Amino acid sequence: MADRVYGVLLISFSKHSHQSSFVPAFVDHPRIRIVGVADDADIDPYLKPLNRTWAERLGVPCLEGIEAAVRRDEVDVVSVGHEIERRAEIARLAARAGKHLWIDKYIGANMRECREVVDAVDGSGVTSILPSYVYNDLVNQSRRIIDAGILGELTAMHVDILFGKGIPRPISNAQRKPGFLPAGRWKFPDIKRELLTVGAYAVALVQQCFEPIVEVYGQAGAYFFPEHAAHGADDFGTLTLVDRSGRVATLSAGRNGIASHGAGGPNLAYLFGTKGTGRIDGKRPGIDTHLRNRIVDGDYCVDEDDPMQWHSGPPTMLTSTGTEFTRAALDDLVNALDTGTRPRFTVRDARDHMEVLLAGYESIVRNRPVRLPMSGGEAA
Amino acid sequence: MKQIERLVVGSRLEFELYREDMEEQDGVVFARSTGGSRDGDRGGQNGAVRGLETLRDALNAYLPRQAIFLSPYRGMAVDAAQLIENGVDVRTAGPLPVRTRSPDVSIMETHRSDPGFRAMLEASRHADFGEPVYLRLISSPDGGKWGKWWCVFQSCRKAAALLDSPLRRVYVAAAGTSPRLHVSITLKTHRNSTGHLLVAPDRSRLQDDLFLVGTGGTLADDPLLNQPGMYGKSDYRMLTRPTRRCLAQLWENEALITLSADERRFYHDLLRAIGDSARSRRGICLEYPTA
Repeated sequence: MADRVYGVLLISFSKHSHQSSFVPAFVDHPRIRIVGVADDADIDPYLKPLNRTWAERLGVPCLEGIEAAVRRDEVDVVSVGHEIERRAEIARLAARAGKHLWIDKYIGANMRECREVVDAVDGSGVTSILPSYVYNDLVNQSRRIIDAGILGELTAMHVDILFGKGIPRPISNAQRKPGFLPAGRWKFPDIKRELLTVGAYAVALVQQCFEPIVEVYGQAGAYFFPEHAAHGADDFGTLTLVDRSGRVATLSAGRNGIASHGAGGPNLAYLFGTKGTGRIDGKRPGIDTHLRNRIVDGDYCVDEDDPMQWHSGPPTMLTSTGTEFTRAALDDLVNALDTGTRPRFTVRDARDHMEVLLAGYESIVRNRPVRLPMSGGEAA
Repeated sequence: MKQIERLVVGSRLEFELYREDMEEQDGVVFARSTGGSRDGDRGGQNGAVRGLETLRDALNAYLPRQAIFLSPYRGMAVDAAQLIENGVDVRTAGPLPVRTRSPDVSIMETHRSDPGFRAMLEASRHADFGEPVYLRLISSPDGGKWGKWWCVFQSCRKAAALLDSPLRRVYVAAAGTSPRLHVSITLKTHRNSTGHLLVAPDRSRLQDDLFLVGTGGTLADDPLLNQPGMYGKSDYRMLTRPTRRCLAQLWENEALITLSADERRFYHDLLRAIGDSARSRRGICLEYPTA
């Protein structure tokens, strides 16, 4: 019997998601077939034509009404690429319909939503995967060094992940909104919360290397972009995480502007062990690319429709030759569906991951460390 | 006792930092702050002593005009007080770890003698760099908890200079026990810039790995790239390139630090927090005293 081909329904091409960057892997994978694009009627005006364009490009139907689309027989897997505020509702709906879940980065906007998604997935027995965090070289190489035992006992970590994107500009005091915007509001037309967006990768790496996190200390408030300063929202931040056995991880993460780093921003991890310190550059392997014409004839400009470069790469002097993570994640999902095994990062991991990030925001607002698990108002 | 110009007390690592400079000077003795047998070459032209001495031998044999303690050790306060009593100009690279009745010892910033630091400070003050936002500094000094504490002290001074703002608050999180103690300092300045000062266990060759982020770009001092190396059959070995540091710069006024009583108390609280955090597996917040 030929290997089964799984039908994937793409739910939304929101500009706040990576749905478009998943498409090439879906298209190329021999065990995957895209069966449609779906969204609800009450969506941002820009999104309807965008969804339609993608459906036409892929030669699949563009369906209005997520609930009905999810129930279609040809749908085995639902790829959730909606705004963070809608992901939990869609994930629950799909799980209850018995459809497996491929979810972009976050399963909910708060802890209540995240827990509800975990309950729905557990209750339905479907398979879930969040592909963005643990299939990349930074995580793979870190795990390899730790598992090899050459570091001795891992006692601490440090991670720097910065996106060299967008063009920072001077910020006047009048442009700065006083105070720091608490967690909960994620969606803006002009910015992303970057501790959430970029810091999420570093937190996931720590999760893969440490025991459960029990304490989080966060800092933010210095800005690169006037847009972020005007919202009092993070374009950069730091977290310090303490795990159950007392190990300490520090991380810096954010969006700090184009041409600030030869490789488009550091993607670096240090693993401190009792026998030595490991250093992993997630941008390597790569080819150093120093081409005269790109500088002396340089006419680089940022797309006016995508000023923060959410959907484009930064200019870089390093041509990465590492593996592309989406294919590895897709292989993991297909294997899980075939064999009933558990993918490397499921909704349970995503729930714990979001709790660390929310605790980081809480810590920034309160100027003090936050203990996990959070409870009461902190967890909302 | 033989009169000499300078006695330098420090770790083997610090010896390597100043070795080239010392080799060109007469009358400078370097003594190891930790125990161990006599190490390195001795003797030299014109009666100069070069290389490493054991500390007790050096204190018994020489009367220096100036003495500098780059690493702390048990009994250092007594030795420093004795030297001061003998008219020696004494400086240390950090506050005395124990409270003593001896007169205050002058403290200096060791990075003032580091060409890498001076170059980074200059680059960071250029308009192209913009406003400093974040500093990450990783060090792995020799020695136990006190040595790591002095490293944190120097790192805090370095951070305030590179971030161009006084510190406002630190969060201390430590893991492990000496000599495999890891200390993480998360700091915030009065300008809301932030930093991570990481002091790793002493088995690492990772020294002063520095990454400074400004609104205009980034500056990095990466020891991996700045050290020569050798490809072997099965690995890549980093070789030593001594950082040429100049001892005389440690006696310049620019290197001198004046700590207020509150600041001294802060750094002693920080020392206590390192131990408490490692024991309790929790981080500890400390407010930096306002000027």
